Amino acid sequence: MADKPTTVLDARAVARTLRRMADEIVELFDGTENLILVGIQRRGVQLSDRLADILDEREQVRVPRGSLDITLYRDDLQTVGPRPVVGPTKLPWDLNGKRVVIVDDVLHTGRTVRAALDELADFGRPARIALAVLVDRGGRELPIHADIVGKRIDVVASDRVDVLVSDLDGVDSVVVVRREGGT
Amino acid sequence: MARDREGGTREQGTGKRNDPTRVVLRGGRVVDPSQRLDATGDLVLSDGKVENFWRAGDTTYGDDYRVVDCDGLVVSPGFIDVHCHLREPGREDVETIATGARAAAVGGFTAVCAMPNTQPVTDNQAAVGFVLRQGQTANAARVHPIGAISLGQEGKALAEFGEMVGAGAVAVSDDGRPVASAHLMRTALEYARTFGIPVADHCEEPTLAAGGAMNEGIVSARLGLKGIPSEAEEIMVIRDILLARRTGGHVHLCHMSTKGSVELIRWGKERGIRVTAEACPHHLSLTEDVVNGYNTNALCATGPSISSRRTTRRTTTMRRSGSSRTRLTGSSAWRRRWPS
Amino acid sequence: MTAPLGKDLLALEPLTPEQIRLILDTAEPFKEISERAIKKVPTLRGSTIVNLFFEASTRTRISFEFAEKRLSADTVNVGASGSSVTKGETLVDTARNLEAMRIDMVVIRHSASGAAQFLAERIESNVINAGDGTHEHPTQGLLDLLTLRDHFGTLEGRRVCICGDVLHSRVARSNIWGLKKLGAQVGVCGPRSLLPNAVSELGVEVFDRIEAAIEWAEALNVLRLQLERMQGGYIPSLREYNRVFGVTRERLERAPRDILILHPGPMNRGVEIDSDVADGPHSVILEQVTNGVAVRMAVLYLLAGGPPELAEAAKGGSDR
Repeated sequence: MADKPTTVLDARAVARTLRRMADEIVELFDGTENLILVGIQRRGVQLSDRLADILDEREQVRVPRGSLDITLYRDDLQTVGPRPVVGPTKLPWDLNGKRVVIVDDVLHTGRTVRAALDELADFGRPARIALAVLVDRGGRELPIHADIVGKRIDVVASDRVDVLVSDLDGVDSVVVVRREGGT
Repeated sequence: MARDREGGTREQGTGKRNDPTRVVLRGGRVVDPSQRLDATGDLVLSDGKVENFWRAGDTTYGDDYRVVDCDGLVVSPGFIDVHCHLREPGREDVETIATGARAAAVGGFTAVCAMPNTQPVTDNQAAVGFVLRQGQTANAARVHPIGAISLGQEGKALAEFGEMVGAGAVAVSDDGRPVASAHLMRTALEYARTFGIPVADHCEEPTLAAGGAMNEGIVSARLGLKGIPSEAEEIMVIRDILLARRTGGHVHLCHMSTKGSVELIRWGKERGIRVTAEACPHHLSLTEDVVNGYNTNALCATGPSISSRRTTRRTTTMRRSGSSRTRLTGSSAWRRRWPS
Repeated sequence: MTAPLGKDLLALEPLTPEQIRLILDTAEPFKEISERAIKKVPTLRGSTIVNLFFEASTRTRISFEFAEKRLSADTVNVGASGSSVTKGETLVDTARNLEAMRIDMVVIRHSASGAAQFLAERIESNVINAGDGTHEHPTQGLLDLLTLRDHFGTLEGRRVCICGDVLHSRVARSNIWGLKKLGAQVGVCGPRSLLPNAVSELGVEVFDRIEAAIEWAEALNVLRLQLERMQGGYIPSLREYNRVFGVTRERLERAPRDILILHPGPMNRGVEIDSDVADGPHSVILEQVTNGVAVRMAVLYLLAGGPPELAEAAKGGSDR
């Protein structure tokens, strides 16, 4: 029952991917007007900040950025055991008419994004919400779709996909951990 | 520094001497119980303080001493009467603060504490201030007011200790009446701690003492008078000592008169409980036999009655052995036909 | 995963410092929700919570109600008058009836010390003590701790003095336990007739005068003085209480440092605290109220979680 990690994206690859994702955002929205980037706690926030920094540099603007903690909107709170820690949500604007890009590290079942959409609805009515993820690992349980994807990877349900960011983990990378043998 | 001359100089109109620094009280009987001193001699004062004591002899003093001849007089520290009733306001026909303060001074008392069972009761800052000012005006013994424990001394609601202390009260007491409620006594002891003052109790259990005219014993049995058992005092004494233990407060027991009380006080002091007590002169010098023949002069109106011979002896012994810090006290003036 | 609080929140005395810190840390994100335009999250949707207040209370009950509604729970208020209680129903029967209705959580305030524990031992629902007799008022203690922490950063070594009728105060007791567990130095100040006789055994500094307390403290938690204390013979009058123990501007001006002023409310202006202090620059009384809703939301959120075993079962695939 050994864990076998494989690095799928190293630091340089992550940087390249983020640059491309930033370009796709600009393309998708035809500019940065009324744009807000919102990262999902915790690592989505770091990635969102990186994307916003790239956009600031490329487009010579200051793209507003926020963070969203979706713990309180989870649909599995009753079954998850003791309560998970709730992180901070910082969305100091009224979202009416804004164009929001939700940023997360990994898209899997889609339940996190569903919770994020519910939470955003309590902050106003955006003109458009798009989803940008660094990794899409498939396995949807809800009809959720990412507009911008860094990398699509093919794994089995028992695999774990870890995104590491330098601010929290010391290094940027995407790692797939495969369980060998046993359950 | 002015050189002294016999007689000094006198300031016109004030009656005060222009006192030089050094004074000798020569040839009197010098008594100081705190030092167990009782001898004839000269007391030398300097700058208002006692500098020296010379036993009687042929000491001569220079011109810089003012000599006061005390032959045939007693020279002692000023006594303090911690428990007296000055009857003002309300019964100025019997005594006033001024007459009381002057009488005290004549008797060698330089300070007295005035109990609050006046009419109206001294239970607020205005009344306390009045007593203090009257004492200052009398300009004799210093008068220290004692405030009441409860409003009207009714034993129900606490008086404002803080305000009374601010106006000059040195203690609180409902003397004249016992503090019947243990809860009130306890609360008073706790509350008084904040202001650093003692609570003085008149120890007489009211249901046991009701209607009694004298000590319960052989004399009352023969005379057919209702007696007050010594337990009426002792029950309150032990109650107050135990409450002082629990609360850490200072309880002062007024006019102790029984052997049992003395033993209880000793018990309390051995345990470091903050209890002090006092006894009256008549309890030390008389016994219940003086009531024989229905001598109404011997009936104490409110204080505890004069007790049996054994008790009187024990109380005196207690005072001599110092086992309780007693003071001679209980001066209260009564008219002859005082309704009891 | 987080350390569980158990089924109920009855008191601060049995909690560990880690559990207290968990509640305070959890309250932080809940503060933000009360600043939103839509002050609601779906976290306790479908939960039924009964506010069982046998003692009249406005501010605590409303605070709990806001906390419950902002978590999308369904709330029912049961007051002392007009309820089955006045018809003689015992607390045990009330508890059994609640359980039969499948209530998820009960918030109880009662005039008897120990009532919350009594109820908690007899029903499966989570029980939160909103004040039992003179025993404890844990959510008040927690919101006081949170308010102090907001200003001091940490409570370790901070000097906090509780002023007033400690003898009859459940707020004082909860504060003493909570502060000590988080490493603060605790003082009490009041007339001895209103301090528990064994107060020094609680590990607190005792100040007989308010001036001494002000000299020492970095924060004062000023308790409300009740009229009943005067009638019960513990103090002579409210006026004297203010003259001797009142927290006044003059006394605070003589303090060697700026002192934070807390009060659990409702205030007796001019008795334990003067108006210009309550409304002054060092008063954090209104922050306490705001923090109260956040702390109560945090407590409800944490108690509603399932047992640790479920966490093990939930581990497996990363749930994205």
